[in-house]
Amino acid sequence: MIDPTLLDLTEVADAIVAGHASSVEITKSCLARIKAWQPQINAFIRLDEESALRQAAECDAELAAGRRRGPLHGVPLAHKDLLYRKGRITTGGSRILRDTFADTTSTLLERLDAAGAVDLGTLNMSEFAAGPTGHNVHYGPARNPYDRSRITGGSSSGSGAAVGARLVFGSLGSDTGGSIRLPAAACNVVGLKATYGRVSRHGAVARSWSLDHVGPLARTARDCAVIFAVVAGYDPRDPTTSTRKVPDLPVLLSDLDNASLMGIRIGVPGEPILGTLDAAVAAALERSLRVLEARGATLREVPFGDLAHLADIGETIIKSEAATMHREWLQTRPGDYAHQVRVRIEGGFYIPATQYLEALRLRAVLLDRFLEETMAEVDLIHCPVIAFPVPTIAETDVEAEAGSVVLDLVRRITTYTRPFNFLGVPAVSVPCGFDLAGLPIAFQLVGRPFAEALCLRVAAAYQTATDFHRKAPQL
Amino acid sequence: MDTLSQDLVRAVAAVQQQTPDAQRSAELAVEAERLNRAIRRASCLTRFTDEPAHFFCSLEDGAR
Repeated sequence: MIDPTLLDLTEVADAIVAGHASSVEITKSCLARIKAWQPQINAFIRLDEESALRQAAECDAELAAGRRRGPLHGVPLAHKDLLYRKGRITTGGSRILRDTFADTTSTLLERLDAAGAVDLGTLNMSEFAAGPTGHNVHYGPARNPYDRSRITGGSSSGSGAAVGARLVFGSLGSDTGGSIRLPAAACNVVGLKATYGRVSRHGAVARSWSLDHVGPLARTARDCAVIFAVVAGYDPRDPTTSTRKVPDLPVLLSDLDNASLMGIRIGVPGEPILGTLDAAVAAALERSLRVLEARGATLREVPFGDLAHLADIGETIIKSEAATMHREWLQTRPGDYAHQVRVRIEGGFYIPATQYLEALRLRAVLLDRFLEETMAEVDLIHCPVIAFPVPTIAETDVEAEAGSVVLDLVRRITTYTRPFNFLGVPAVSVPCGFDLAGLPIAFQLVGRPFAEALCLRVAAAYQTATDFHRKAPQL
Repeated sequence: MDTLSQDLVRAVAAVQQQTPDAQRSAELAVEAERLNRAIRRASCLTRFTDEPAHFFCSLEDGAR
């Protein structure tokens, strides 16, 4: 029999419903794989084995009685350790919260529970979601399943590692400047950052409330669509969520079955941006465009604007909001922060309120401009996620470096991701090859507001024509 | 010195105690000024009546 952990989320969900496998069997397979891989990649902060098996047994009993909770019935997942579950510790990857029990359950965990998901435990992450590499001085870095000397990307480091290593079938991460898409790209999985306000953040440890997005990482666009459909939508407990209707899952999946991209216009940046790319990354991205073109998409060059400029304006918002939230702890427990995290947060104390508010005022203006200029004649933008090969953990360890070195590293890794948090538009990271060292490469599709379904449809069409995402890492 | 820069000087003075490391303090002030320049480059695009909450309208209006 095939190892069930190698199935996709949608395949395993179908297998459970059809009675080909029980949730308990699948959960046990995941637990066995976790025990083999965890010492290698450090993806989990806490494993809730007993609780997971109990949930799985309940799912099996319900199914035997003719009740299916929802599309994730009996499917084992695990999430970044920043989603509160009442009575459980949520560390946020920090020392400061390592003994703090949550007094509420996040909306997203409630929705996943209601859809039948089994929660295996909590996943590693950068401290307080601040860090694009996955380093964590308190819990140790998560390691890339494709090469344990390399970073996973961050801040949803454990989510990328666990999904990439086939320890779980999907995971929720959070993304303030690339923290879903970077680990998705580095660990060869799909990661979706939806439109700002599409997914509730109630009960999620915040990094920067104006730029935080929570969303799925999974092995395929189709798997991401299932999790997205379950968790997205208006939440009265998060007043920033949109009341706009989320497509029903059958409609969403039906759209994804259409592998033709006829009539879809994809914008690509011109030479100046391509010139900043590593050669292997550029070649993989170019090949991915040819695949999309062969499926019927029309490609055209678009004015891409100054991405670094957008990222810098967004950085004013991140720093200001993070400093506001951490002010008291920074005064009373400064030694409990990693240097690289403290440097990034402390920067907010140097930003005047006028500068912060001007950055917020500019957001609507620059989004309008992006839609009118860059996206005027296209439906999606195609661009890199990470512009260079996945670096090693050692070469990106800046804990002992000057503040300017830390900030420069963050800028380099997040060049192509941070602008879309500032603009609030949806973006999905899609695996598109491997470099000569065997490390994953990915491209990013960026859509107009609320165009998650289109992003996922094009990603799914690409995945039906390629098998990069099928290459599992070896223990 | 314009208003923003004066604000920055005051902010730096106010937070010296929170970042007692002089080198780090200087680096963070330089970074804040770099980010401030990025905003000043774009601020000519804003109108007097623009507010942060307009972002939500732009998202809704920007959907096709």
